[in-house]
Amino acid sequence: LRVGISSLVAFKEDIENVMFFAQNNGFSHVNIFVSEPHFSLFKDRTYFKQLRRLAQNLGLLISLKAPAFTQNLSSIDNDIGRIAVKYYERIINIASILDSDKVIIRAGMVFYPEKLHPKETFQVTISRLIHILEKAKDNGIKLLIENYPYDFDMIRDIDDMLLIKKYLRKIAFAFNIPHLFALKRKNFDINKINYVDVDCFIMGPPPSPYHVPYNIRELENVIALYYDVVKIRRRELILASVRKDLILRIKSLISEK
Amino acid sequence: MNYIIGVSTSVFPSLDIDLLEVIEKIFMHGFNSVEIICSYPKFKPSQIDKNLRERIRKLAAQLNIKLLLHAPFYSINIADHNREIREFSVREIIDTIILGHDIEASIVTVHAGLCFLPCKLMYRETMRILMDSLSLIVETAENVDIKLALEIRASEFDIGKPLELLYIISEINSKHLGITFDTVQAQLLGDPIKVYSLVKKYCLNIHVRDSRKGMEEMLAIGEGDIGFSSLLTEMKNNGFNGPFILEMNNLERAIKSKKEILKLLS
Repeated sequence: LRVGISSLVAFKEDIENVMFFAQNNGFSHVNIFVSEPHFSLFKDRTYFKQLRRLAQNLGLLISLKAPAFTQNLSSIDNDIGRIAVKYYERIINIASILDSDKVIIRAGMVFYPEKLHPKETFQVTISRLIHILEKAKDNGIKLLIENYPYDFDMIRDIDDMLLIKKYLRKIAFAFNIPHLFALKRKNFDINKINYVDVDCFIMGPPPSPYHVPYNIRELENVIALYYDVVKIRRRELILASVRKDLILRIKSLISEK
Repeated sequence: MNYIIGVSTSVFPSLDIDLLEVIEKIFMHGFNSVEIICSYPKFKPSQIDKNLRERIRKLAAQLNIKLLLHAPFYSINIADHNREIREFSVREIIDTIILGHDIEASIVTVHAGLCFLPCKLMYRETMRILMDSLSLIVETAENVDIKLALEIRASEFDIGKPLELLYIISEINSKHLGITFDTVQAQLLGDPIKVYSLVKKYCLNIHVRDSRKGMEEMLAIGEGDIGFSSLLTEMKNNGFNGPFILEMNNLERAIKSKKEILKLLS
């Protein structure tokens, strides 16, 4: 089982430090969390090529996670939608230079104006996703949608994944375990995961690796959920947290089992 | 005392509204002010043509309706670490200010920004980014003589706690920058009277709505847990005579609340 690490772990450091940390701690790949200060989309090609070379020398694979805190693929405001598409296109270009195999994205967010226009919202989301998927395919990159736990998110659970798969047959997913846990759903059928193309699992502290402060008391329950899921599906695992100690603790807890 | 009591266009939840009809309708119900939520798909500032701007301005002047605007806030973040998002957000707010100038609105309410992971990990840098954005926005507001009011926000993902707003106001130091006090956001932060006391010096606009404790609802005065009697007395004692913008989720609730607010202020 390959285990990777998110570059979130050294958010304020140089990305190179994450590479060395990953190699020293036995991780097979680095998932770059695309955000300044530790990673800028606006560096030149030479910089990205150097980074690729460093990863190769250290025996590490690279993938990219495109955080979308404000970028919204589901917006029915075309200006907002265009910004999101352009953002993902740029990240796919950089992923290609980095020789990355995958880019993880957020499907979109459904706010009040979108809720009033559900058909239009779904249509624009699908059409923008098709465009980005094509772009990724042209660059030999696998595009993965990550589930988020918030009420306004387009993809929250396996049912949402199954629905979107009807329209985008080739779509794959990065399955975020703490996000699934944060939904607090008791009776969902985890076996449905067999019907979606899960490329990797993302593990980290609840409520979300991207949401501080963390709720560490629930960490073991999240790991238990991961084990329920992994009994059904085994895929590459990416550990994500802003804290190095937590990354190592999660790695060790998972290894023990 | 003559109070400025208006409604937010939130009372027309479909967003599918004809603004001229809205102005006439709220006039008929005895309101003297309206705060227009500038949101796509129907009321994105850059898409409001010259002709409609002029018709809105004329009708509001004719009926003596005071106009206020609420700048766009969905997928808008003037404190974003991503340059494209930030520049787009600033542009949207500047477009709102220009619209405000054209229709002779007096106040534009703005959300100070969102605070997600990059903000939480680099708060100082985020505030610096926010100040840069706000400086540009305030400069435009000063040029066209429109007041900007940063809204109090309680969510952990928002910049807008009272002390944050006071800090921003002291740093920007402009007579054109103040605060929109929201009764429900204040209750989410604790005791609304205490929150009001902190910011009252800079209060330009009040969003009035009720909610049960811990919830973010748009109920009529009396339907939730906010102690409006003492809160409105405090506002009155502070010499504030409006705008009180009734930010409910339907017009009936706003009409009911207007009667209540006048009773409590008398």
